[in-house]
Amino acid sequence: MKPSPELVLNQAFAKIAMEMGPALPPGYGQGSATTTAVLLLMVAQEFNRAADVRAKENRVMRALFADAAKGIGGPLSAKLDAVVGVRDEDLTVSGLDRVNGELKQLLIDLQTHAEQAGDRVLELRILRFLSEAAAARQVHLPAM
Amino acid sequence: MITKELEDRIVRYLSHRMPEAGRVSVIAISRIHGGASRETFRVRIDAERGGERGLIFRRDPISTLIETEREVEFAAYRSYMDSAVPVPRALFLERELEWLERPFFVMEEVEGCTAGSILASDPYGPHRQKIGEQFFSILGAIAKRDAMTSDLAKHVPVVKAEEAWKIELAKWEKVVDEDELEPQPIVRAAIRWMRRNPPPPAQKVSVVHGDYRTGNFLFDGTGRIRAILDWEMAHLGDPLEDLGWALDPLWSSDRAHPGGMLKREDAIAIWEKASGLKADPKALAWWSMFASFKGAAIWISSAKEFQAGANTDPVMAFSGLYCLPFHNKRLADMLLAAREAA
Repeated sequence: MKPSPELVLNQAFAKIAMEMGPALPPGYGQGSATTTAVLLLMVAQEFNRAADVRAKENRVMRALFADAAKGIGGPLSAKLDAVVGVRDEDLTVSGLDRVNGELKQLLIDLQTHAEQAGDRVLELRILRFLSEAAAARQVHLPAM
Repeated sequence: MITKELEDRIVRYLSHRMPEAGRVSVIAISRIHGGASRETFRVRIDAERGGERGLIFRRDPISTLIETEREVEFAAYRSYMDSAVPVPRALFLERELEWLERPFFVMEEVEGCTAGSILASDPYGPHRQKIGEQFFSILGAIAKRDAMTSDLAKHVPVVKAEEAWKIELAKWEKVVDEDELEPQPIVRAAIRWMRRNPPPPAQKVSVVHGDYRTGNFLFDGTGRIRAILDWEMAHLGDPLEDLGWALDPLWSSDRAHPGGMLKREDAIAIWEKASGLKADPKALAWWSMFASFKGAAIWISSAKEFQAGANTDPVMAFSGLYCLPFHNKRLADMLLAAREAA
């Protein structure tokens, strides 16, 4: 897709933030124009990476569940087993998001189990994943 | 959108509330940013007796806010009028719908001032030190005031020192429960951690501003802080709650200087001196995590409002796209560090 979506959005940001916004009278409208421009900048960052970030998260969570399911029994183990080995079929961002949400709910259940069981190793593995995943989802803005 | 009808309504209202002023006319009216949850208008009037003056109208949004928040904010302003904590003079609280279709309150405008931006690389320029010293000193003064004799205490629940953290944690957990659009493993882990590792009881129950940060105060060209604004989340509680919030790194792109002002340790020392309280490191660590959690809860709620079309202010989308990932990362790192240390 050319021009690339990131380029289009970045140019739209520049147009609104540097030309159209300053032409408005100071106040709510000008502030909203600037914030809207910044939204475009953020969506530009997200556009190219969104599917990749979600697919990676889903893959790492399934691998984590595969290892964890071996050590725990009961209904949680069965729930974990049910998603191990599954591949993402719907590769749209909304499709990946839906699966990501289901896996994250399972992750919450697993993390709660690890805390209650005092499984420090599993807790740390989950927390490291969450920290890395959160870093990958951060949006970076230039100082303005 | 500002219409002639709105202007006429304001004139009618002011004529009703200020009969002593004689004939009143509106010279200028504009909408300004004043928190995404309430419409804020700057209104310049000319009164037959009294001349020109600036007023600020804060009108309830069409949906969502519970009635007490307006009363709370108005009472909070009145709690600090004519004190060491600079606030705009709160004039009228109007509950009747006949004037502006929704309840609102009116304050005097603090003129010739500006607010800092959390996206600015250096929001205070040469006044950074001076503003930082005032900012944390005023926060100490808020905590120092006898909360029980304040107007605010008549409008919010009185809490016990040992229960302040529980009440706030439960309040914001409920927001997450009601508003999350997708599972939030980091936020949920933070809630569980904070519940398992409670802070010590509050040294005293004080007024808590609830949103004390860069962007919510006005300063003039000499670097003097003239007004602390946006008291809509004010309540009674642990004063360390406000300190943890004010120190949160989200409030400045300069992460080494909370709020883009002072070094963290200098800010804490100023607050301790002004409040007469101690910022116990362990307790402050808990309230720092709480600050990022509360932030995350607010951003989750903002994202839901925007997604649902209930509030399409771009700030609401910004909160979900920028602020929530920021606080998620911070919470995850704090949780990881705490578990590694245990």
